[in-house]
Amino acid sequence: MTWINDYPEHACVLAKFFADSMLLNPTEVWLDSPTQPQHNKYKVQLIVVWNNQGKQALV
Amino acid sequence: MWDSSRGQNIRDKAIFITDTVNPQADIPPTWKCEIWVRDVDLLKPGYNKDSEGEPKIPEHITCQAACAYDIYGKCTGMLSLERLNILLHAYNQSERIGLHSTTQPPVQDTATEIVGLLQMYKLQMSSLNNIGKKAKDSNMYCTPRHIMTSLPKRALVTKQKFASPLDFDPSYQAYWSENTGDTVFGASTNAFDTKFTGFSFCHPNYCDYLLHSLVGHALQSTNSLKKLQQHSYSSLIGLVGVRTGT
Repeated sequence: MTWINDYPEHACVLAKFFADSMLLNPTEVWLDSPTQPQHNKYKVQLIVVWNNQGKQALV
Repeated sequence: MWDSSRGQNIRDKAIFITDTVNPQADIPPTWKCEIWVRDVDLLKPGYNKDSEGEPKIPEHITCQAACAYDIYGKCTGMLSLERLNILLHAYNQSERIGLHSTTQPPVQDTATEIVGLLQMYKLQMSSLNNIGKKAKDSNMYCTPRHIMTSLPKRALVTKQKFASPLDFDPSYQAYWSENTGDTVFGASTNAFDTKFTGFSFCHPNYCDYLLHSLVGHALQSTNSLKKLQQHSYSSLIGLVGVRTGT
């Protein structure tokens, strides 16, 4: 994911969620048995890709 | 050869099913797809370990679910009642605006379409077994609801990319799916056909190629919009799984 740094004007990481820091919902579909909510096992990032207008609308 | 003439009438009516039948989940074949809302007995897997480090024994639960049956009465999958309502609403809305008339193959009834959707999902899940555990894990779970609900309020997000009829959030104005057949449930298809405009959110399946394409397309959209219209905004917010150290 380091290639995001190549586009500092348009892409950035908004938040980082380390493993076990977020409770993920199971899908509302069961093929055999239901799954339970589970913590993320892997690191997850919230990234944003935007132009200046998008940036200004949010900031 | 059975040459007795007794019981001929009953023998003519008898249907022998050679496939295995799960009496807990399956129903006698009705030769059409059906959705039954019923109480089902399920085993809730014990994911966590107890205080002694031993895996917990699966817990037996009874809950109401919408069971989707194929023409042979086999249970293809189960949906929560909430998701069933979302699907029915999306199906009706899509029919009302005329999306069904242009869909190929022609749209059948609701039950058949939901069974088809679940069969497609099952196929996708089984293909993920070959890709790896991480991909499978990331696809079994969806974005936490509080994140989904806060994005439209705080980040002006109105669109969801790379979603599916089985997990899209109905509070968003529109969603995009990878499967063309999902137009039956109101999905737009092929997110890469048009530029990303406005604010979109995606939680894509774990796939390096998809992630690169997605961010690349978002970057192209931001650049081209900048050239074309000074005041057009474009933004893609994505929740992505990352490998450690990359």
